[in-house]
Amino acid sequence: MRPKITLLLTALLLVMAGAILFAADEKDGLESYFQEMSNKFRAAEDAQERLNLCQEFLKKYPDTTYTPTIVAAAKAQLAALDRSDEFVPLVKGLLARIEDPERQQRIRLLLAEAYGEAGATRELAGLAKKIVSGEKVTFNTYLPLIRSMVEAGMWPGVLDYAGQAEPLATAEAYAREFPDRKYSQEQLQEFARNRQGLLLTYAGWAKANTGQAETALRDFRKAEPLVNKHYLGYSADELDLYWGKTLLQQGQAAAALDRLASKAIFGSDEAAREACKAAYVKKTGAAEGFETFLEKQRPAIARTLDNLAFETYDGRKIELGDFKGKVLLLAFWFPT
Amino acid sequence: MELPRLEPLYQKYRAQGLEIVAIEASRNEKMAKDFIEKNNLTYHFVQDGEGENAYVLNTFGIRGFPTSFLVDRSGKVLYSHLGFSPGDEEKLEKEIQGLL
Repeated sequence: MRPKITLLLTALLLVMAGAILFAADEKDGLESYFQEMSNKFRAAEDAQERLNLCQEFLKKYPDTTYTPTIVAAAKAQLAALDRSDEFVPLVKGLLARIEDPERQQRIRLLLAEAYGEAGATRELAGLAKKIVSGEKVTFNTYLPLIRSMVEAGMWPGVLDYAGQAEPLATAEAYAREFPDRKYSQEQLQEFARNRQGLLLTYAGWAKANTGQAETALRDFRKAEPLVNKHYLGYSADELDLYWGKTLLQQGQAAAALDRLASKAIFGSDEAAREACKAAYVKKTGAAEGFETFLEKQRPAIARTLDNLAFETYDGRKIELGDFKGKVLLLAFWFPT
Repeated sequence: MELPRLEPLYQKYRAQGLEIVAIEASRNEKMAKDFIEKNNLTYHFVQDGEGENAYVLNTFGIRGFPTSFLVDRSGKVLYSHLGFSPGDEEKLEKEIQGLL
């Protein structure tokens, strides 16, 4: 739970930093109020204090470019406080006060996510229908809906929406959605392939959960060359997790273990770790020795760092290879 | 791991062979420099490149911050940490001690 929150907060701060840049021509009052509240948010002691700040902001300015970001932050705080049931009334009250259709859509997607987490299948089905019949529906409208349905175990819905999203998993659709960004044709093709891989991943998982494991495994094999890989070797999304779980379900414990190990070891991913442990128990008959097993796997599947070159702020060149022979800690960061 | 928390580790283990390189993903030089100065951070700081050389998002595929990789003396990436939670410092310190 904890690391996930930190991550959400970081993501939020990134969005806030971005919002600050984009909001230069907004009203001065709103702008400085947002800055002031961001500072308070960062300095806040606990989730309750952060939640209060979100609510204060939404009360004063219910309908601004910041609204979806703040609603997302409020959602994370409620989750941290174990009071997620308060999110639905909060959003419903707010939606009535928002006129901008794009903001409404983004907030509805957060509501859909909450329904998915709560397993509120009927509410989610109704809301999803409403969302995709709205304006400017893109792949990124479908993806959170599909993920919410996975969370709620709505397998026919997952297959239905993955099918609907397929025409949007193309280079042309991607270029249309981001007309200001100058991507090469090659990049656009890669983004499209990743989208196709994601749809196959979720559709496969829906099939695995409805007794069609063979077809599911075929989808996963098709998805593998399409989806983005993390630097450390596992799929950047849930493909390896679902694939491993399906293999385990089919009694192929050793293959499941192979599929899950990299993500369990390097991915900071609790779900992958748990699934990996289940595969280990199935293979060896006991949970004992699981940690030792993972530690033994670590050097065997670890990847050697590429010798990439970077520049320091005073213009010097640093190559990562310069640090061979040292123990090197690489810290990726984003000033906020 | 948050950057200011790495500084004490750097001071403690530098002589034994620990190096730290912080790669800034946003190319926001002013904010980055202010942060480094304000927190008195003394290890290496570099900027991510642009386009083809935007390694943080493209090559490393980093999606959440802070993320860190711990690399052994032979260049193998042995540990990765995503986000920050209580107890991480102790864990990281143990891993560093194990590699030194």
